[in-house]
Amino acid sequence: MFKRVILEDWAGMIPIISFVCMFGVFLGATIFTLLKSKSSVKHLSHLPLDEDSNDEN
Amino acid sequence: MHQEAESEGAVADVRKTVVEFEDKSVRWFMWASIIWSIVAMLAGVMAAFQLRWWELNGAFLADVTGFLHNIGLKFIPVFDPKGVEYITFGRLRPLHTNAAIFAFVGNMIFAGVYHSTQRLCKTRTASKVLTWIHFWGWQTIIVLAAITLLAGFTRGQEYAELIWPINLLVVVIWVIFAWNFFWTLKRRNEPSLYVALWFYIATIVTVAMLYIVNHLSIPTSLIHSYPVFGGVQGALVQWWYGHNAVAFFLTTPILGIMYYYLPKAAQRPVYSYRLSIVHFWSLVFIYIWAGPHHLLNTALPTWLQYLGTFFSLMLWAPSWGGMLNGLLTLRGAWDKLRTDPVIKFFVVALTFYGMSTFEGPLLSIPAVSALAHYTDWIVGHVHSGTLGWNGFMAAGLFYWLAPRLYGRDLYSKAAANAHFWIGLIGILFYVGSMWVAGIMQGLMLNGLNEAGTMLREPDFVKTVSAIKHLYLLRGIGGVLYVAGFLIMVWNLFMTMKKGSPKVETREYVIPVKLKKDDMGIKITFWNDPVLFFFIALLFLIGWIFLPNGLNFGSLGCFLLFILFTIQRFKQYHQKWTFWYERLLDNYMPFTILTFIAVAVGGVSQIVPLVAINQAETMEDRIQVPYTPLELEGRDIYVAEGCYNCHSQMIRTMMSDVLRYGDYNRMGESIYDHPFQWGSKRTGLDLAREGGKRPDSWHYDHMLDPRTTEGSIMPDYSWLYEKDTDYKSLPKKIDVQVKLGVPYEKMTADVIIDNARKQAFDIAQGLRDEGRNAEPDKQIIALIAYLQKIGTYEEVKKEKEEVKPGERPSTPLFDSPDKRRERLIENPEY
Repeated sequence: MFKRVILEDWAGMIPIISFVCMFGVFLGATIFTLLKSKSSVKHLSHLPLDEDSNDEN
Repeated sequence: MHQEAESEGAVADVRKTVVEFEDKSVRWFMWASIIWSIVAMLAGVMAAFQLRWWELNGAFLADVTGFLHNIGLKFIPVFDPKGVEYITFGRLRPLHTNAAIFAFVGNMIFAGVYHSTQRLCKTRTASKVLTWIHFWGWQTIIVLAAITLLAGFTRGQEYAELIWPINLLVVVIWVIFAWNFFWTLKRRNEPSLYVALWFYIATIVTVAMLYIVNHLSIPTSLIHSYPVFGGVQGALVQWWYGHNAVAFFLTTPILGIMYYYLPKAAQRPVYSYRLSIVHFWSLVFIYIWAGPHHLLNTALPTWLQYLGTFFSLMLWAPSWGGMLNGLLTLRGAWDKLRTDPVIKFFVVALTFYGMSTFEGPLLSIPAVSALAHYTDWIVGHVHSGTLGWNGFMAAGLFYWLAPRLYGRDLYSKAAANAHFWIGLIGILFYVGSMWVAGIMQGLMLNGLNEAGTMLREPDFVKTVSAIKHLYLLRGIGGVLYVAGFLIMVWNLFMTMKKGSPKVETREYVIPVKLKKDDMGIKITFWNDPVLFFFIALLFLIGWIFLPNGLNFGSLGCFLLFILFTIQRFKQYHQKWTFWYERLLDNYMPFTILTFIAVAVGGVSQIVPLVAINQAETMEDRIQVPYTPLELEGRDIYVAEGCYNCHSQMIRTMMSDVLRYGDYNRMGESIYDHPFQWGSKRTGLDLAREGGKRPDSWHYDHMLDPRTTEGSIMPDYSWLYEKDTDYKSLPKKIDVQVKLGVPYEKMTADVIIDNARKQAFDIAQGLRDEGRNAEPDKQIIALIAYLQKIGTYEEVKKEKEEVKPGERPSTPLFDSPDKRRERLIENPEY
């Protein structure tokens, strides 16, 4: 089973496969992210700041 | 005291919760990080100056300690002018790297994680007991590491040097940390997981996986073991770990800290939360594959080298996305850069993050690696990341935390600004000098005549002499950086002294019924996004592994399936999005999917290599196993940390071959546990050292390396006084056999007699040449090892009969020479 993995010619396919994987993840993450509601994004992005009203020293 | 007081609110479906945060441990982790940072940096500065003046572990040190002793400081021992074995570069450098990574940055991560997680989860850390076991356990590990590394107890792999009992302790303490962290997530009063928590989750699961796999070893005694992975396999696993130690210990947790503390310091939300999500998934998915870029142009199979290069190049996008997201968070607040030291440190840290993540992929291009690898350019690159990104993020974090933890303003803003400028100048001195040194040495070492048949600079030592003044500049840069940190220590100490530990409580209004963590295993996996991803992946794997014909069928199916996925997504995108939104409110499914994302990268690279890195699959050449004495000599080589300056890997480059000999094949280090390919050449490559020089040369050289004019190697006089440990050899051979090294059956007596006889013969030869050599001393075992390096046998295989019309079977490892021969014999190959 591993013969083709070791065959040096196989290396030519690696750029394509790695690009497909990367692009798939990137595209998926981007689509899901763009589909997030504005209110959800606003809520999440403000989480670190929620407590700041009484955080001043 | 009651930690979370609850009361019903005015509205029926909400309640009020008062949380008292547990910040004492945050203070302690912060101070631990600060104290260890000074230790780590002083060790680094000492090691840096040793490369400029080798006398720093010799006469100079003896003079200084002698002077101090004479002026009344009797408690200071007078050092031996011949050198001290505990502080050679080979032992100090592992102490420096381990202290910087695990002690300095490790404690800083824990301070940031414990502090921010409580606030983001709106709850107190789950267990005080676990927190303090974590704290004291981690500090114990650091102390044990410092003692054992200086004593020469090491596994001989970079950033993975600690001996096996300490490694077990690391795993236990890390599990306790993880347990406490996930327990806190479970008890959270905020359903959504902020992106900083994602980065912490990725850190915890990935570091556990990397650490355990790379540290798998079989002990031979309480202080010694042999790693399970050897040779090319060991190299791949090591750099899968080593690279991802940078990724998941020095980067992802710091990014989590950046995403929490930068918005707080700038008092505005992160520039684009959406971009931070893309940043996270892209980074986690890609980073884990990039490890092989540390092994370009070596005996590592080409397909793995390609993977390392391509995934490294892809890292440009998420890394710069994250950097820009951080910098743009300051939109409309850039004026704070003039007045707020915290913002100053964070902005410059992000700038260095951008610079190093640009430089990293650049160095992963094989042609650039050919010039830069094994030189100080890599050292400069690493330090722009650690000093600039990690060090300045840590400083920014501490300057932000201290006033809040001690309930008063920072003692001196002016001192913080002074720290910033002194530290920045220090980094520029350091990184700039190492870039110049690395490129200069790389050009000198790789330079060939016009015909490409001769080295322009055949004398290695001259390339070291040419950069010695740059080592001085590097050392000065290091001193400036430490000076900046010492100012910080004083400033924070005064802040602590003038203030008092603050107990922070906060009241939160939260829904009575929190909608969180309601996703079971079935919903996690049995849904369109996950199923479609795995089906697509199966088709891609089919394209790789299926025989001719079927593989293209699989590719066709993959493309059709993508079209089907798009159609399905159009139809059910709301359902898909709903699943994803729920995932972000469910920490355990999120953790499992993150783990799968990182594990896929490791498995895809390591499993095929485990299958082929065996003697029966090797073509061309195979290593001759070490005799018992040679094995003991190798252990001395490892204990002295020789791999910190000497590589054992001649790359497939003309300059390497002309300088050191024939390039290394995969089978030539197959029995090396641990592999010793190295990552830096402060000295020569030793892959073909065996038989190159007489025993007497090694004997003289180790006693006084100045027999080679210009050498900066320290003296190793103790090797002439310490006895070889023959008694441990039977157990060591036994473990080697378990690891697959083909030793014939020998009794313990035969093993010891064999070693003694070889030692006697070497010592006798040395005596014949006028040296006063004693057979039982360590130097004899080391010489035996050095004279064996590079010894191999040609593999003889019967010629394969190929039936008419059939393609000959593909060789498991094809060296370029053999491949050319085969192509001439049979164009079908």
